[in-house]
Amino acid sequence: MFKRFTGRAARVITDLFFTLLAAAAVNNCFAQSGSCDQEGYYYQSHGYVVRSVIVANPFSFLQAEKKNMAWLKAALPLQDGQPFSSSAYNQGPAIIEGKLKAEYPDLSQRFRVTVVTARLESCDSTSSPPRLDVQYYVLTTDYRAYTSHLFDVRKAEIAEPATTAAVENTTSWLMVKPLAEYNATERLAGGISTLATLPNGDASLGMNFQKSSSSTQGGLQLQGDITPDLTLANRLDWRITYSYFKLPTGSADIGEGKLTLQFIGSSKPLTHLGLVLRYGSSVEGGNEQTMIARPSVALPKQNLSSSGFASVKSYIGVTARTAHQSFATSYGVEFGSASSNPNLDFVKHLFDFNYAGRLYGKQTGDEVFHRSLTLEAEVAGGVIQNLSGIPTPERFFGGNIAQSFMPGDTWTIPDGPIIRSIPQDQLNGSSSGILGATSFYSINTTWSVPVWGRSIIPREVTAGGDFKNKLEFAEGTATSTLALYYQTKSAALQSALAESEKLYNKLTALDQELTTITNEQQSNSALVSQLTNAKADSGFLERSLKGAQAQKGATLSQVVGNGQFTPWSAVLTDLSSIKGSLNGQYPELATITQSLVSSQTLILSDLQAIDVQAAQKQANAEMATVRSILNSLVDEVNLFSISPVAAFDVARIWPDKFGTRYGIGGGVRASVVNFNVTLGYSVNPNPHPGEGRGALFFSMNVIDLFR
Amino acid sequence: MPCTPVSVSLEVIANDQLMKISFGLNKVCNNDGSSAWDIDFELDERTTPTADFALVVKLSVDVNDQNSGKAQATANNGLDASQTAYALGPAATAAQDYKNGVGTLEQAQTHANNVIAVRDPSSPS
Repeated sequence: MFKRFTGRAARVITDLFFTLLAAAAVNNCFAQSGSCDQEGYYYQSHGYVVRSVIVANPFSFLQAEKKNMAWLKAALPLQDGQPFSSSAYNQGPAIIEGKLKAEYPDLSQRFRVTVVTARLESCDSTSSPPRLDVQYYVLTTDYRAYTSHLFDVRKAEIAEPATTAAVENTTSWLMVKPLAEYNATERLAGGISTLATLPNGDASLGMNFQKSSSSTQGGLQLQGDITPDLTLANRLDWRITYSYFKLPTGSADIGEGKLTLQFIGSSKPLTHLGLVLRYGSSVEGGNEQTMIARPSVALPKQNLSSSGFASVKSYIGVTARTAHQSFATSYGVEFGSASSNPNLDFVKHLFDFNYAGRLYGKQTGDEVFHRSLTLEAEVAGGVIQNLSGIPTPERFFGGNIAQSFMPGDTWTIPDGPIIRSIPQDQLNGSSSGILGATSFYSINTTWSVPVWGRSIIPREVTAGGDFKNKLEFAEGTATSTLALYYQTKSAALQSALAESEKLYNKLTALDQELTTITNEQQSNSALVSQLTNAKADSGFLERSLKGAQAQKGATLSQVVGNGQFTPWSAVLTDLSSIKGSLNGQYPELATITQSLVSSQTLILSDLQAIDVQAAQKQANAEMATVRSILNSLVDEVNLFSISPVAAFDVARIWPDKFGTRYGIGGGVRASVVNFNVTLGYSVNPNPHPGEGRGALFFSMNVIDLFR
Repeated sequence: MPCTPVSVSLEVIANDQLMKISFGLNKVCNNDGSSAWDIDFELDERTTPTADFALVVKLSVDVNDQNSGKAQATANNGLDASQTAYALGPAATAAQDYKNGVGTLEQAQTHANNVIAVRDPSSPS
């Protein structure tokens, strides 16, 4: 599902900047027209020399990144000035891919795709000797491969709802970021954010401060996480925060200072749809103020202009996905006291439903990007039960940015209506003479279609269908391997493994007996030949059994099974043949053979007790995720794209005499894989006092297509 | 359009975050302009979601078209469980034997070919 970042304009600007520059660089790179229309071997046989080897990625336009790519270039078998070799050219992509994988063994997200393509450029047959350039192009979804050599970066990686994706590893203990944003309510604001990892590495301490001419926001937080690895508690995050804000609402300023203790958790996927439970609770206490700027606006009866408060918040949510769509829904509840006394003064209920889907995404013709029609929709609502007083900041304030019910959590539930045509907090009922609402609903839809971009898997890779076929091969093989892996977890296989140890020991006795017979039957060359084969096959069976034990039994069925090609069958055939040649001599051999068969029978009995179907089912379920990822990558996902955006919002608050508000807008979206930055303007077709005719909106979100 | 060498890898952390699957697909261009693919499959696991991954198994397979039905079925659908077990078991042992001077190249090749032969008839064709 998508998660909205609000009030982080600095990141918007920074990421948009790099996105556009990167996109431009990629386009420029691919735009080079090569005149090398022959196969590689042609240039080798015609004595071409490599003018230069170029390793490029989307950030290669930066000088520092060029240096970063130099270590990859140094690992290649083909270097500047060398005679061109077709085989060395061929080896390049696999070498680069292997180097990147070794450099970044851990994933910063739950998946990583790396594509390395090779091409020959600028072939010049007129020079002496003829020359050409070799270009390798590297695409990876792991941002660290681009940025870790450039900046001291630690991303607050967005946790996937399914898994709470791993946080990026970093050697940096301190991160400092400037903050800057502008919106019509706060105006231009600037500040700083720091995050320091504590010495034991289990927790971090953060601080942020941001101020404009009309607003102040700041906070101090200590946070960490634990991983119980339980079905319902896959990961737990904890956070202790002190936060303060003073924000204008048009009619009044609202302020709040509070201390929060927060726990947030997520389950493991519970069904084949990847349904994941998200939950959290917090205990808050502090002080809230309301400073009226317009005398015509009154605080509602029982509202408190300045009061201590305490509250307990909880939420529960689920997320699920199909091949092209994802859903999330949440319910949050807050029990609050408007004083330092433990009275229940108000109860807040919030509901939120999110949808994100790609409705069409096939790459057609010679297009180099996917034209996926993307729809994101959010329906939110809330109501406050006023028992004996609500601090004004706890009431609902709407606009193009909404406060989050559980600040700091990546699982956002809007604590007010979102309508992008009205500046932040300006939909508040003050035009009706009452500041802040006690109930609301809002519906937001955003449509986008890329008009320019580049698919994440280059067209030249997917052309012809060969690539898709090989992916299917890989999927099938992976599923089988996973099924074997899950079989190794069964008790029956462990029993079979124990028996295979006995079989292994009996083979030693067989080997000794075969040696004895060989020594005594030297005159019978035909028999000796049979015995020699049997010893060789017995040795092979021994080594295969050892291998099966190293593989935790995964290969045992193909070692001691009755199949035509198993080592066991070869030994049994040998012994049967020898038995016929010995005419009843050497009864010890028959005894050993019988003992071997007994062990093999027991092993097979254990193997047959394995629930193969359950293992296969588990493997299929695991691979369903992978298949979904692969299909998305091949058929839908762009490495980057620019899309026009259409936005339509509806919102309503109570009490308010002006009724439903609308927002109709458009804008542009820059996307890098599933990370979107959207900037636009939404028109308010029927503005009421204090709301204005429209507002700029921007958002950053991650569409979860890869869970 | 001349053949273009390509390497594609995909790594995915499994749902329980204890397993990582990695595919590597490498396209190699032959001198005659034809292409061949080989695939690396790797399985890593760890005991907790924050521990380092450790290699469990790494499988490299040449994916060149074969003429027999089982080979075609394998190319279309991947190795089935029997084939995977044989590849990791007897075929791997035979290859090690050849490397160690215990077995012959012919034996290793025979067992490698058996990987195709042991395909389960009930597996997808």
